[in-house]
Amino acid sequence: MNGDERSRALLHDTAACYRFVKSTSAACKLSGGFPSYLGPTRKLLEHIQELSVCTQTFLSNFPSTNQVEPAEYRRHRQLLHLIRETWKSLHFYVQPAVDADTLNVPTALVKLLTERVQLIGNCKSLEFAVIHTDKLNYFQFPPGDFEKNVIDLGEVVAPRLKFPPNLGLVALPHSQAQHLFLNGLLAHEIGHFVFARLNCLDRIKEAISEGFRVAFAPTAILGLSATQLKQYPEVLQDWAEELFCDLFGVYLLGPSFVLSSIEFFDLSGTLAADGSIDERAAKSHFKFEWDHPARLFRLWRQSAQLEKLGWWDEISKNKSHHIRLIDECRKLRREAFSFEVPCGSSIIDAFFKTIESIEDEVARLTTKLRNRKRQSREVEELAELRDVISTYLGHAVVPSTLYVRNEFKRPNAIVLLNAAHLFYLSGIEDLMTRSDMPDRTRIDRRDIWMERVENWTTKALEDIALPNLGGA
Amino acid sequence: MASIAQLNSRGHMRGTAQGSRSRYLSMALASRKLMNRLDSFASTGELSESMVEALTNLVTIMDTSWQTSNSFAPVPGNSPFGRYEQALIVNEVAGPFNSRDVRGKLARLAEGTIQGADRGATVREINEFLYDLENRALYKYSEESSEREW
Repeated sequence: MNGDERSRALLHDTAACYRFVKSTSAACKLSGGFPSYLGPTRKLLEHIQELSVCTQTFLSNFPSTNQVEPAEYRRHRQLLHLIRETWKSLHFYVQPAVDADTLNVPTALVKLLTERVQLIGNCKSLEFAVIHTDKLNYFQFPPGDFEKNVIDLGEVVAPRLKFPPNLGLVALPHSQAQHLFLNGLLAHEIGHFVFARLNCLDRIKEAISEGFRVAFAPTAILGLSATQLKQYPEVLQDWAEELFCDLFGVYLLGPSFVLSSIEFFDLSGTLAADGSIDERAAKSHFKFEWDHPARLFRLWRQSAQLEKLGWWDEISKNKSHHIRLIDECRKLRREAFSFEVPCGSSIIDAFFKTIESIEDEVARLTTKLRNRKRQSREVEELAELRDVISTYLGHAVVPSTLYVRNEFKRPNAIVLLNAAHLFYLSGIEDLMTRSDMPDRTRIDRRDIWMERVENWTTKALEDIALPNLGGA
Repeated sequence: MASIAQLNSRGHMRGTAQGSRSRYLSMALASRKLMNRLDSFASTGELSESMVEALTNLVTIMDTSWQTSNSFAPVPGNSPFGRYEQALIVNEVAGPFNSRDVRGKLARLAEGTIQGADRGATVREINEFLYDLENRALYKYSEESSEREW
């Protein structure tokens, strides 16, 4: 190509990239008050729109071939490719972010989670934009990548444009927006953000290296390939972060988080007819995977955390099979788990040496969520109000304000969430019996009452978040 | 050094994780940011903290790859170049440029020992390496996107 041809080609491709960016971000243009978004989500949409404008300005000023040394031409062409690929990656998130208006996110739960996180040191100003995802698995969506790409692209096209510094992203499956209890898993996603933001890995790294030193005899190391020597520390890093996020979820929401995990992974299917864990049914749940610890391992550690935080004594008498499973998990031991790679058992051993450090890190961050006995602050109130909340729900009454010992009382949001979740698991039949649809074997009717319990709980969470609720 | 394709066929690689695809894009963006910072250094002679950090990080990754002792590699952390698959690419791309030469120049840039007349030439050479790194990362990113989306 001669100079003119090169110039025309570059102009065309720059304009094509410009058009792509403009149309990709068009959905983020907000006008008026509808739809309504939570503040952080609005901030996110505004930032994407601003990034789009900056990218378009950058492309408008993109050097023509006359301004670029022939040696630099290639590099400029590749920059166009990079910008387009990055916007392609953002395209994946833009419409889900636009769809996450306040009618389509569990607003009360998101606010509750945000308040809890803000109690943690250095997290006082953190807030979370909620976006949708078409992926059903909460645990496999990496909104942190989206945030990073937005920041990095900003640095390339508009170094002065700064991503809101305290804005984190969490994503929920678009079809599950109305499911209050299941969305407790967002606490795990928030854990990923906190893990990165507070550089938690820096305080766990040494324990991982030490774990390898203790678990692998020098002769065992000789048998590993160079690839394995490089990959296995990466595996432990990933497992450590996942465990951190699970435990963080337990600290943030208490038993409700664990119950959500059981439902999401359908782990109650591992219970045998006699109520013990069916090793055959649970076989795959004992296996560690490259990216995640075994599911029953995760539940086991969550159960241990419930015990440490004082929750277990208060929930153990609940008759649901979920609680039964947690109880069974408490009996698990190291030998139950496997990782099917060369020296997999030693890798698990190394990870077990790391667990204490991970648990310490979560505990260190969440001091303010515990009382002087190092238990969750809400445990005692749950003991006091659990049955009252259950009675209210059992009579189809929204438990925003409770009448307890001759006075009105507004329950703590975490207490309300957990008491309602326990009722959801074990009290629906009582509620149905008192209703005009008493056939408890009808799945469709059970579904109606389950949805109502979630709706009443959501309403109560919204009510108690209001300042100066009358009577309380 | 074994290529990623060889490792995959031998079954030594991890399965493709959800986040691995976006790590390639992060790597491409990180390469571009470093090129821009080096350009700025070439014209002003001023080292920025983020530039030194990125250069040091690349040096560490190249050193780890040459390690032949029988010990585990350090935990990779959050570096866009530090994960196993990304580190493999860093070293594959550095190969044709003479890895030791690239490593040496990266180290000297990070240390601030390249100044004066050598500055522009060294930055140009390293930016050629970073251009290829960005190119390869974009290719890998597109390749994994294609596998999923088409």
